[in-house]
Amino acid sequence: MRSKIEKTHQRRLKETIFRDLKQNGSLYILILPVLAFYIIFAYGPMYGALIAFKDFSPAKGILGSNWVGLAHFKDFLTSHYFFRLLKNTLTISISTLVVTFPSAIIFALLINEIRTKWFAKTVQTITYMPHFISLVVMCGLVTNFTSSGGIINDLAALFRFERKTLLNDPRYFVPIYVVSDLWQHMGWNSIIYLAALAGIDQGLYEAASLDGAGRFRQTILITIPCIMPTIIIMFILAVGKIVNVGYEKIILLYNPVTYEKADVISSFVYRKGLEDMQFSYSTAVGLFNSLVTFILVTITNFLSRKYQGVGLW
Amino acid sequence: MKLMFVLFGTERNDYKMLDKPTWQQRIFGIVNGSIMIILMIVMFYPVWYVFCASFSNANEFIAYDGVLLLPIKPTIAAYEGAFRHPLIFDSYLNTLFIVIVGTALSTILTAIAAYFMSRKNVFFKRPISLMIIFTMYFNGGLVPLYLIVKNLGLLDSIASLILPSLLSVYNIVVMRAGFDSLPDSIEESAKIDGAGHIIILFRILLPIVLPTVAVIILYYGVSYWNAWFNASIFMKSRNKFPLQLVLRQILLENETNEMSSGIDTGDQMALSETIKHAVTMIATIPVLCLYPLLQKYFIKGIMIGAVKG
Amino acid sequence: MKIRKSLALIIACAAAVSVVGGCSGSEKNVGTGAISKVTTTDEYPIESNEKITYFCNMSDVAESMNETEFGKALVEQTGIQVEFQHPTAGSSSDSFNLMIASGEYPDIIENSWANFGLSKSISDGVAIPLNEVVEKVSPNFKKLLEEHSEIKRDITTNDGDIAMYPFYRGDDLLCTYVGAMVREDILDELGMELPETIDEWEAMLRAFKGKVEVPCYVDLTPSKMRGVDMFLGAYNVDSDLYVDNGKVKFGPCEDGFRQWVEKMIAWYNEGLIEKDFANIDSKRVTSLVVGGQMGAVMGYCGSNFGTWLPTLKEKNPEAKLVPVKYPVMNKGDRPQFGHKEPRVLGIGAVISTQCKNPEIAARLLDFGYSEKGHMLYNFGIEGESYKMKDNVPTYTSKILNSEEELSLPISKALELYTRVSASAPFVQDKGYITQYYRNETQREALKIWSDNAEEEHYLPLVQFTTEENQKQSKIMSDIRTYVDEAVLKMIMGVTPISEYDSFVSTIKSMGIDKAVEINQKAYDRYLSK
Repeated sequence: MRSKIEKTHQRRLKETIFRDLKQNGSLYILILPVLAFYIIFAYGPMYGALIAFKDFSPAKGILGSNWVGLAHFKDFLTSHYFFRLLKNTLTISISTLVVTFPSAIIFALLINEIRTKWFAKTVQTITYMPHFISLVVMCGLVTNFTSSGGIINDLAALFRFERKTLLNDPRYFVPIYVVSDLWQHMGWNSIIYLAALAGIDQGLYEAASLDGAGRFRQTILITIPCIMPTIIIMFILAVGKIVNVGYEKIILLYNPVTYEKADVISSFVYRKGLEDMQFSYSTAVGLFNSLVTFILVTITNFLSRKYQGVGLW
Repeated sequence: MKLMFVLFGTERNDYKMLDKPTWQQRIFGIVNGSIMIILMIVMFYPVWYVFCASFSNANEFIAYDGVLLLPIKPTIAAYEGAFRHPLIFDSYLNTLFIVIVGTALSTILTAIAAYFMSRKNVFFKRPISLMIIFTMYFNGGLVPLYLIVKNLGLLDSIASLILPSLLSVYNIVVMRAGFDSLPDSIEESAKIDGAGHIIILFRILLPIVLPTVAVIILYYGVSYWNAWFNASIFMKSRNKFPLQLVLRQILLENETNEMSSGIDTGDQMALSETIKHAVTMIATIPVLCLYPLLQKYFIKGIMIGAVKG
Repeated sequence: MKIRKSLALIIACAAAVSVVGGCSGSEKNVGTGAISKVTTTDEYPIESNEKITYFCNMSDVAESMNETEFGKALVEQTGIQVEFQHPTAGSSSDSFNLMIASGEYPDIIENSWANFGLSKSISDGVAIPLNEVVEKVSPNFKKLLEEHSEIKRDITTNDGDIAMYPFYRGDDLLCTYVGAMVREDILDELGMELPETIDEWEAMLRAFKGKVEVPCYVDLTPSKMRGVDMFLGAYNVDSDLYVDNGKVKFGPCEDGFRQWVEKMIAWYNEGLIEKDFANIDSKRVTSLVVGGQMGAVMGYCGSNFGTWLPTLKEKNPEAKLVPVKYPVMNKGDRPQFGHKEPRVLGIGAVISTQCKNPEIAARLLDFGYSEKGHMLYNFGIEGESYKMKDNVPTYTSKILNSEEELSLPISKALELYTRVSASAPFVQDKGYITQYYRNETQREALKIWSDNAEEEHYLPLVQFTTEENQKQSKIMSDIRTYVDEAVLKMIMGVTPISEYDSFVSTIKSMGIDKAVEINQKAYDRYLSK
């Protein structure tokens, strides 16, 4: 009996696939170059992740290097600083996400409310610019502004606050990091929402307007629901970056006094890498990050599919 | 006929213009406008700073400490210094080629991938989608990628600056979100007209999601424009370097402290401080112009909602 | 300014540079027609059809070294055809690793072997042991080894194989390039002498207060002070692992370190040192110095003072920045610590296992140590880049005035004609540095700063086994992070100095003894070579 059911299943499956290929054959042909790209340039090199479990020596190659098992993972997970690094990484990225993610949306909505077209365009163009200024310059400005003689202290002094170097105080590190991120990338991040807003059916507003809905209500009732799928997708994508706080900006802004809040996984690996070759170690850390990220994204994706019907896959 | 409307629909008047603003709306407009002006000033400052620094007299600039508001003793010495570099013009052309060809290829393939992933009733859609998305989180690292590029015979060719970075999962996902937001009816009516996938994708859907396409073009264009890392390991001939790599070398060499190998060889010139900023301006201005060019696609009302009916 | 950070960077990833060479007195044998084995080994040019591929660093001054005057002269003088390959500036360590991983090696590879490991270069099959070719066809290099037997320790593997032709600094002046300068004009005004001891420094900085905005800028982050001990050296300790009478020690666990921390706390609170030192922007340091608002400052001789001195002079002709010795505790002492790098840095050229004719490659490399090679590597081409003045090779105005004559900064002009600023296999001549530094004060600084005994305390490039390396690197990276953080917190007053004992016991609990032991073992092995 069982084999019969299985056979039926198999036959059905075959039929389904056959029908699918017949119906969507041209679609599969279209996607071939894309698949080829991923197989060659993404899956082809995937075996390189093996070096996380090896003592990689370039001369012996990836496959020829000696196995060390989980030694690199153990090194990282038992580091004196592992929990602090993880905590700081998550604190910085979640704070950044919580602030910058909605800011970009609100900013796009505000631009959308500007009636004068040339003014809206100017605002967009100008606010998009700092994204292209190098981190070194941006962080130089941040350091300058937050120094004890800097402009922020000048303002604070007006209100009789004591002058101090803000970047020497661990408490201010995350706020400075987040605000400077907003400063540099808010305009750029809002572009995708402006595009989504541009796609909204204007007729919907007309109808709402006739029903007597004010602009605020229109925003709540029409605009936000219309761009919701974009927001969710952007959110899931952002969750995918949560464990990855790049080291460049961190090392430009931190110093040992602020390590307790500022030292993150990537900056620690960076400092370690200055001392010796760390191919295997950094791959192991990267793999660890990937795993955590993938789990987080899978959960987010599951929830979002369940409650909003939108997801990455 | 509806289809024709979709393709050639005219821009509608902004409904808001028809209303007379209430006093709340006026106050909102003023507050909103003021916020925007403040944001513009704050966000323009870094660009302005680099601009002023690049046109400042080097000796004065390095001695200056504080908020820079205008170029100090304006001079174009830094630009002369930067343009003296023999590779600047070649690399500009290389970059233009890479950006144009790369962005075109990437955008087309991204559209195809996103179209595929947004189809319904396609049996292998989920496994293939998952396979693509998986690569966003896991990769094999630099060494095997290099070996693959080498084995394909792409080392030292412009193709090595385009092919390995041809597709970004991130952009595919964004593009797909654009397709997902469209009503099924558009496609169905096209199918009834007998259109195949290529027609549906390129002639019908893409023009409707033009704002998203503009975003994708912007994302790819900017990433090709800014890319330097692949070039630094795949390219051997310096005359094939892209602009950003050449600029990076200028920056590194003028980085007074952090370079040199064993001995302290940084340039003993104040001018290198301002050259760095001149170089940033040279590399940034073209890409700053990209956005205004694409901006017209962000204007409300291009997509015609009426097709839904 | 990130002096120490960059120093660590330099030491850690110094990427080697290039070249080739060989030669010596007799030129008569042009065209012997035979391959090197036949001709006597000190004659150049030799005749060979072999093309040697050569991997080395070069800036973007030319498409490749084949195009520079130096490269052309090298080929001409040695008679050996060379094809140069260069990594992209800033990616040299990636390029090197990828080249190795791709399994196709050029004949000669120039690199900093500190990270990769010399022993590994042979045991992993990248490079060949050089004992035989050094013996047979490298008379010039052999002579150098005989004259300076200490070089051998740095270039041989644990198994006793000679692994590379090293970059060798021919004079102590070339080993020092970091130090402090003070404003002598202000001191004169105050009727004070240049400081020698910590107490005199303290008095001077106090006197500077009120005269200038910042009395002194110096970075006190321990990990950035490795090998550059400004005030710490006076307390007879280094900030990291160092050697004291054959014993490896870790500075922060020593008494002197605590005294230094206490002194720095006092100075910091008194405002004698720049409060923002840990986070200062290099631009601000520059503006304070050239704006005349800095009393004493530590920096690089070339890239910092080379810019500061002329600009300060231009802004304020009265101002006088002069170099001072590394401070000591008691007047008249010779500084035991300071900045002085070893003469052999772990940078050099190896001959790869894929080289078809190692003898030709060896002769090419040996040229760098010959008399003719010495001139070419250090000074370039006679009549073009240098002239003999009173028997002293002197750069021409093409080099010294390169901005006008070649539209190139001096460092690049030198790259066109020589390899002196690159860490190539040859003996670097001090005549280079004394001319490269165009300012009299810079030249004087080298003499004053290099008067220290740092070389007796520097932990050389010892070679670890894989297992040792993994263990000590894990321990040390955690400890360095901890030390930086704890020390700065004490100096800045976040934690009280009374915590010092628990600070030391934490370091111990993190395994410093084990790390010191591993380093001691490796150091003993190094000495016994």
